[in-house]
Amino acid sequence: MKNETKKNGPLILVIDDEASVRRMLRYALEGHGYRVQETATGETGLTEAATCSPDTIVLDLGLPDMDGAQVLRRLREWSAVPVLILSVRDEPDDKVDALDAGADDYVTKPFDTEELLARLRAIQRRARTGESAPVIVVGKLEVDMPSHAVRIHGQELKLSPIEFSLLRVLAQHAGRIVTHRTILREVWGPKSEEQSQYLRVHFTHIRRKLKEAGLESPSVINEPGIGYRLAGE
Amino acid sequence: MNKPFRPDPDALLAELNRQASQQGRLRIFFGMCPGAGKTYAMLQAARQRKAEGVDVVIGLVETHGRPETTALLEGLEVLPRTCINYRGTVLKEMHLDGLLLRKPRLAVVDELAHTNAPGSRHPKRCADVLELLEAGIDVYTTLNVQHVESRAPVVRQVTGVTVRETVPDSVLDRADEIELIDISPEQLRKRLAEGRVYLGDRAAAAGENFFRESNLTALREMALRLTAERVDQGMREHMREQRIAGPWKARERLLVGVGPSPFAGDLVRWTRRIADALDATWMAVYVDDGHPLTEEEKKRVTEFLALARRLGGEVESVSGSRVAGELMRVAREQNVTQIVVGKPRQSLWMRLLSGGSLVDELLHRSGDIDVYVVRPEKSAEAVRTSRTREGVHFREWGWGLLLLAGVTLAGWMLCDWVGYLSVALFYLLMTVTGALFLRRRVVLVTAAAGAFLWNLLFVPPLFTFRIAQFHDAMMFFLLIVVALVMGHLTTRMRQREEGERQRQKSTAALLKLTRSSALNPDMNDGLCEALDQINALFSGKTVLYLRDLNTRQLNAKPHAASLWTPSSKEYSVAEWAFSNRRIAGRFTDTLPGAEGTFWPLQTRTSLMGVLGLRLGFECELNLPERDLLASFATQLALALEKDHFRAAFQRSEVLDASNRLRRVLLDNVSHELRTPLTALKAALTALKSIPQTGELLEEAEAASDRLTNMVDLLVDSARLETAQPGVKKEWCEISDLIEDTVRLCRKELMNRPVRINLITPDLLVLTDTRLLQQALIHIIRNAGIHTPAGSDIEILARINNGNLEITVRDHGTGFADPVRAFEKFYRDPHAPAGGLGLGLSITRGLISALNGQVDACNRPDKGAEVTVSVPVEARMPEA
Repeated sequence: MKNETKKNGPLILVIDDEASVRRMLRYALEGHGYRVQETATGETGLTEAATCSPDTIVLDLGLPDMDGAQVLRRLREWSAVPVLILSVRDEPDDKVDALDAGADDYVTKPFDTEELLARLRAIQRRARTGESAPVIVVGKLEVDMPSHAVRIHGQELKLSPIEFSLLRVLAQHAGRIVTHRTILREVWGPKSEEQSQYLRVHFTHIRRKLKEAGLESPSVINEPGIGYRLAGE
Repeated sequence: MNKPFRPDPDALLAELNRQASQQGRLRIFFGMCPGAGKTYAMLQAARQRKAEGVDVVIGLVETHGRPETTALLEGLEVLPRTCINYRGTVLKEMHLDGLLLRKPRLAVVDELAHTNAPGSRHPKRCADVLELLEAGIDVYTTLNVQHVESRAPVVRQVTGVTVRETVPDSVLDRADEIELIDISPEQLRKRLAEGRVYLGDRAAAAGENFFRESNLTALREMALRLTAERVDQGMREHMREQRIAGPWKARERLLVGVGPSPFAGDLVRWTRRIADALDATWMAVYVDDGHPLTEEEKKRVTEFLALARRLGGEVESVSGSRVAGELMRVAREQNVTQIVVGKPRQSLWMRLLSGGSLVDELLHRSGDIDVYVVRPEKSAEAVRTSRTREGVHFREWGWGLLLLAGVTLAGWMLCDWVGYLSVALFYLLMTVTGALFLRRRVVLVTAAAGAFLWNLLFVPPLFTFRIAQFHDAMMFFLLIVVALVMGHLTTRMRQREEGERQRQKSTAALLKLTRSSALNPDMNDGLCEALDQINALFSGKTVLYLRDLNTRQLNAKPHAASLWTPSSKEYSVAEWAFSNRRIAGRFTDTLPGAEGTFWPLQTRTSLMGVLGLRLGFECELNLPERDLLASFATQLALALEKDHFRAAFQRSEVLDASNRLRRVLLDNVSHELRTPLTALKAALTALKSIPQTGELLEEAEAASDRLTNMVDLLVDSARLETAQPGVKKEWCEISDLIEDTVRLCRKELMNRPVRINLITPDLLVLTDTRLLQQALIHIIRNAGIHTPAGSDIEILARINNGNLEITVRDHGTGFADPVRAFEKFYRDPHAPAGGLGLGLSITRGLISALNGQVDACNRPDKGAEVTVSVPVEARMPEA
């Protein structure tokens, strides 16, 4: 490994065929205390992922030897390492496919460096805390699983059972996009297709209730055609 | 009833289909004879409907000069009749096309059993009525019991009057309501005497003949009984629909065997009556046992099967040597519970010779199926049989005589050498040889004659019929029996072979047609070959009309393969067959006066055109020929459909490939444009962390943002052209949609107050919010970019005629040209520098994917206005 600036920072594996993008990523990430390992093809990326056990992988979808989605699927056969997709493809279908294939988040190129760093932090937090904590705290928002309660500044917020479940799913993945399909599966279980048309209405209500309770941040952000995100701590 | 009740799903479905298909309702005012007051009752009912505000038109009413009836017509719209000129006489008929064009809610059509003047579209008025019902028009009509097809023979028996104008029972089955107009015979005769039924002399004549009290009573009973049967059926149907369990009989199903005998017609009618009484379904089956039929007999079979179809039975024609066996096979396959056959009139020895009669064999094999043996009625038709026997065939008798003479001569000459016993073998040889080419009757007669001649001329004592020795007598009887049996068997074999050849011919023709139309790589050549096949087989001329692929109408120009160029009148017959999807023209019930017969070329899913065939004047089409032509039509339709699909598939494949190519190209271009931008942007961000790089860096950053923005626009615009975006609808509050959109345009709307004006902010709409939002973003950004800071922007939304209308108004200078604003790369002359002129064109592309439209205009009080209108489903949220 070359250029190890900080010995203890989290290791990020960048898989991208564009040398200039790799260079800029290394520069930005190392500046924020990460260690960076880079590679240009899918095959070598998979080998590196196995040998140097990175903390997070940043993956491009358009690789010369194989499609990024394929790399992701093969990776997910044996590893749960957080993966952030970084791609020029900006169509919702591509994003949903990658997220459903096991990616933790998706950032389109050209990206905003600050945003990329925020997303990286969010997916690493999940990797540390896991999803099964009894009480999830996102900023001033507290989601208490055992008692099915949501508190803001310690004040309990009245939500319907469905609204609570929806907010819980977002809170468990705080900061990251949760696709429509994942939300539907986690809240209604399989065979919940007809509910998909009502998601937006439910989230409008949640958003309104959060706002009325005086909570500006975090807020529920709609990613049209992809899913929802609870962000802005 | 010990089984759980289960309504017949097919019956329920049929009923639902009928209710759903918007067909008209048929109400029949039913009576026992003229003068019962049917027309009067019908007009009264029609007036009442009119008073209820229903659109009623009188298609045709015969008042017969009765003043009370005429008075009822007042105030009702009466359609003028059409005049048909038939051999110098002008006949006035109902104007069917006029009525279809006028399309009232309810049409009143008197006398359902009427026969139309020759040259009308349908020979019978009841077919006119069916077409009206098909077009969704309700019909009121009148009918007398003696005109019901299945009752006609009984009427003839009772009254001695043969009824020619009959209405098929299937029309009665079609009726939604049958209303009996009852009157006692005494009262009717009184009316007749008062001259209220017929005027003048006719009244007196009618009173003595048809209107005898005994006749009237019998007719009345028939009318009452028929109505009662209908009521009973109606009740059972109602119970079935409402799933009311009742004393259900197991479903009965009748089968009637139809042969060339003239009594088969009565047999069919009898079966229909019994089926009615049992509420059973029924079918008529003809078994072609290879026995060749005369032209007369063929025609009769065709006629009887058509009669069965008219009476509402199913029809099947099968072939096999054993009639009883075939009947039993069909009966078992179709779950028949009762078989109806005519009582045989074969003599005893013929029955023994052919191994028992049909009835014996049926009874023997029937098992749990009941067999009815019905005696033919002694009626006028019985006389006809003797007239319809085959004519005398002199040539064949001549041949028989010649053979007889030749063999006798040869026997006479050779007798001394070979002995008279061997001469018997010559006669036997003669019989077998003759059987190969002569008809059965001739063979049998020559065989018998040969035996007697042998006895007379060769057996001692000569020239007497006496036989002296026992072995000669035995030889004589053996000769007779063997000759008869051989003759019988040989002719039967030959007949069967002939039938087989006939069938093979049609099968081969069908096969050839299928091959030529399906395998020929060029469709037109294939069609030519196929039509040639039909022409050769029927020695007629064909015409082929194809469907125009764009207008879905029938092409007026015949296909190039056609040999016959029909007149425009014939074309209108073809058009009728096409639009009604039914066979029409000569030999049919629709426009039988036409020169040709026209088959619609239809498959289960589509209608490809019409096949027309013109035969010579003396030609007839029998049932197998009709079936064959119908199969031809289906084959042609399938071939045409396949060709159509193949062409469509090729087109879509080419389109698919080019779309794929464009998409790959687009992805590559977008990748190549965005990658350097990514590096540029990341580098600029990194540079910012170094202090004192100042204004230059900000300038570079703004430029890179602008470049990114333009690449996004170009890619979006190109992508919209490549493929329509997929639409995924979801419910959404109007206010949420608009506020969310405005939030995404924050940067462009800086310092411009936005007023959102919603009439029902919490109304839910079902639409693709992503596409709609993208479309609105471009409009709102434009409003921001093209107006001075500080001027306000107004957004209105409302539901109008099922459309969600969103209007964005600004207070800038407005469009220089509102029409061109949606053109690609069109930029307003006054617009600030930068921008590609793609935003609104993308908006239009996105909105059209939602089946909506977008318009721009300048308001009189300065400022631009863009309105998006998208069809949506809308509903209020649940409280």
